[in-house]
Amino acid sequence: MANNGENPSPDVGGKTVKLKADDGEIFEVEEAVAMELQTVKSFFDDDGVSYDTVVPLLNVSSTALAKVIQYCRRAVELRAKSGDDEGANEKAREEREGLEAELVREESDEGIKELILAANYLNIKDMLSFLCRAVGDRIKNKSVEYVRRFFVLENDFSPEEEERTRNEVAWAFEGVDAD
Amino acid sequence: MAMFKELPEDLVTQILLWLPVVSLLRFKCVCKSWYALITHQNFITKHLLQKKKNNNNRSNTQLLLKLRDLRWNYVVYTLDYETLQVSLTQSLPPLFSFGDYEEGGIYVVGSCNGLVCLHGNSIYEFNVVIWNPATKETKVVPESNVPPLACIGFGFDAKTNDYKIINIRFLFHPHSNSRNYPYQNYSYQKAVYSLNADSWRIVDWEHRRVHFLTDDYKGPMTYVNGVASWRVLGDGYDWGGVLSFDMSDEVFLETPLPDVVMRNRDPNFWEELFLLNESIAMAVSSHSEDWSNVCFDIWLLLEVGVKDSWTKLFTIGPGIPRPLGFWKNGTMFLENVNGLVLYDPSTKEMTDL
Repeated sequence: MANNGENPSPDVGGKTVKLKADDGEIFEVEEAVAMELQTVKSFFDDDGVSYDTVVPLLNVSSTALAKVIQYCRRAVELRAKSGDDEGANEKAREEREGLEAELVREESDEGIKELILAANYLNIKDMLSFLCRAVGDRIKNKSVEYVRRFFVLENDFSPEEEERTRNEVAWAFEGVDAD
Repeated sequence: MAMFKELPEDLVTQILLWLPVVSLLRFKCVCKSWYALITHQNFITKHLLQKKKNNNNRSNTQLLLKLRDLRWNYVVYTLDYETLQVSLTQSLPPLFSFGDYEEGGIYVVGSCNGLVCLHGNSIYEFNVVIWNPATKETKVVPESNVPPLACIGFGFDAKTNDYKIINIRFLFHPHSNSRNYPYQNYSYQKAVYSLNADSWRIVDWEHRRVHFLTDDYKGPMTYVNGVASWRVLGDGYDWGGVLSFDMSDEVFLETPLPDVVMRNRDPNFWEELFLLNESIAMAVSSHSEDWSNVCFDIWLLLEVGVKDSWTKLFTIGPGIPRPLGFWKNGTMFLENVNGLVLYDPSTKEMTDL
């Protein structure tokens, strides 16, 4: 690992890593933030890969990558703030939840799916977890038809099969949001 | 790129794990692969584990209250554990062929992983049912109409992923000498029902003779981590303890009560088992120094089967109503003539509920 001892804290203009999105746009990020993306971390864990190498992230759009980087940057900051102090921990947790809510609030269905796919590909566990939960919250009161459109699924039940399945749990269809 | 994105199945699963049961049941209709996914045992188990994890491994994420409504029908309220707010109201499952159970009543044997075991006593019938309030499915346990029972318990065998019911049945011996007290004329039989096998297995009772001190109104068993426990008294009433049944091994384990409890028992003694976190706790009536008032000593059994592991936690009273169980943060529910009271032992504050 080159140039290590000089600047240990990443937020003092230390080492950076270059990430390339699917459209070729390059993002330069602090090392600590880049390492939140386990995929990137694994990329550099291989012997002989220099930190100057640009990491190609072929499956991530620049829009999604920008949001991921922004989230991870804030998450790293928050984690640095909380230590052993329970009070600070609690506050950091609340702030992180606020950060997560902010990320998903404005997103369209397509946008949030794109983020999930990105978080999955980049292997960011916490982000993927809250994104899945956010989608769960979005769809839990929705109709079957809405869910099919959201997940791009064909209804492969015959009309009789579908009717029978619906009748099994007729009560579960009460109070569903209108599409 | 205006294409609609599809998510791979593993991500779909991760999303579905966050959904409440009612949504999952509805989404069985989305398509055949979702039907298969949602109804698969793997998914159901993962969903249960996820729920437990999100609730900090506290298994009582909801409380059920069974009360009669204005038309004298049984109604079940689901309460949120944290806030005690009613989140759902539903009627009991249509259990028994004879509609009216007002005579004997319907009792909760116990609950585990969201399943509730009920038994009902009417002058016509006695039946046991396993009920899932979230999916509203019910399973009538076959051949369960064999009163009288000394005791009944319900739990989960983690080793075989099976739900079980344990019945201790009376076996009367008609040829015994009729001069004897009635209790001499019977022995016990142990019957275990497995949900997976949907059948009973009957085994002779190899334990010592005990009397089960159960009171259906308060719930017969105390259950935690695959072990069901009851208070028992030995023949001759000189020995008392806790009898615990392990759902996996299907064996009984005895824990005698602490000597000091046995010594100080008076004819009106009152004891109740409940849970504190993952251990068995017991409230024992005792007297204040001048013997004028009743107090309650709260004990904790740290290790089932080990008499020396009984630890006295604290005493509440005098002047405090009977304790029923612990809620969160060490507060306790007490039973008053007017209803439930919440009590904080550290501040000694009482709140009517």
